Amino acid sequence: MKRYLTLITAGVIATALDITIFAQAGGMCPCMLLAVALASCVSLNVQSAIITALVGGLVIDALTNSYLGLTAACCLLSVSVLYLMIRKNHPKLFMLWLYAFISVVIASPIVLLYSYLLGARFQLLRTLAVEVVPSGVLTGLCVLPVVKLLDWAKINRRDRIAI
Amino acid sequence: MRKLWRNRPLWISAALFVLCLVLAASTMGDKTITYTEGLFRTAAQPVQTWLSHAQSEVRGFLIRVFNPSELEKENEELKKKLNEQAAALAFYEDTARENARLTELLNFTDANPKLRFLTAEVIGRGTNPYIDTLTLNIGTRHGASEKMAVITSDGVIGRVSEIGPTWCRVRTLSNDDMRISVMVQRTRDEGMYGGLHALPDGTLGGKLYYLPDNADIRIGDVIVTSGLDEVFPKGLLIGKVIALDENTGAFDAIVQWDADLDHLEEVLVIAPVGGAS
Repeated sequence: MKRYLTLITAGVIATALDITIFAQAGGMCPCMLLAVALASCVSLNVQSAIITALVGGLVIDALTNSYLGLTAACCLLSVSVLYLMIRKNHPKLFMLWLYAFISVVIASPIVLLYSYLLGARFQLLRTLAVEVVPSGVLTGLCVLPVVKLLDWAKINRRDRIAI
Repeated sequence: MRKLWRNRPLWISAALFVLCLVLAASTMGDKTITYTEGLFRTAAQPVQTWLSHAQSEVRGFLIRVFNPSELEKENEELKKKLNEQAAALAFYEDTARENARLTELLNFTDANPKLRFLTAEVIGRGTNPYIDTLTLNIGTRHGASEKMAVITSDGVIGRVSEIGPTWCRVRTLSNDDMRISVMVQRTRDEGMYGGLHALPDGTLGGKLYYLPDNADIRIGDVIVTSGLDEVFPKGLLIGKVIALDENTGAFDAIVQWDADLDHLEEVLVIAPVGGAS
């Protein structure tokens, strides 16, 4: 139960951070909601990751964007890609970061495509180099502490005292 | 079949992914929002206002703790901004009165030059860095409606694209689908502002086109609204010409908007008196 409470708290904080601080920062910033969803996919299970991505993504779009569902779709795609890569293994930190980075970069073109259809104009290569890749790196880095936090929440109290 | 069923989280995720994409496609663009969408967004608006205020409080606290001189500077800037807005308001009111007198004199009964300003606070910015949208804390209850012009003392910001009872969303000048009827302030040549163009140095500007063939346009010319589109009142500042197109013929010039679209906190929504419901 505690792990799910931790996940919900982390999800709410991540959504708030994305809406307030990172929305002001422009493209080169981590997506905290995605980090929490990916971390829950690694540390808990894929179902909780799907629910986090779906609910958080819809809330972010409802609050800040002129469309509904795109953020959720990208988070879901990232979660699925990560799930395919890790399956039931709990990878080491570097591999975890790398997997998270890859899953973020794979999902980003959907945002770019929808933004283009909505009228955004950008230089694709420059955007990939300056925004998508750094954002993937930062999101991947943010996944690591959240995984640690959820792993900690998974351990029951008696074992924690023993440790 | 059993192998497929074993992967059911993936199938569920794929189905939700497709549903979300369809939802995004059906809700994107400029359109009147559905009742359900409006209800959801109206319910979410107090949360967003609270988050926006919480962010301001935390920012203010950090500034006070780590950089008191920054606070004084910000205070000075805000005072300056307030004075500028008051001056702009006085100017617009004066122009509206003058227009009213002239209209009466010329018997232009169908003209409606009176304007009123709704002050709004920016409570949210789109998380998508490629689509520039702002969320304001006023809606139909405050007298705002769709397509109303949004300005600051620095000039035009954009127009209201979606609206609910207590909130509205603004698409700014930096969106490719924005179209505004404009004119060159110096020569009074009329044209159209719209569509984005990136200069080789990476500067983004809006395209100016449909100017008369003999138009005398120069770099540095000020571009203002012409009022012909019936959304933006005449004479609002858009920006300055920063480049001319002498080769392709696809457009006439590139305009760099004057308003700082990245650092907006308070804006004015222009509502025609009696026109809003």
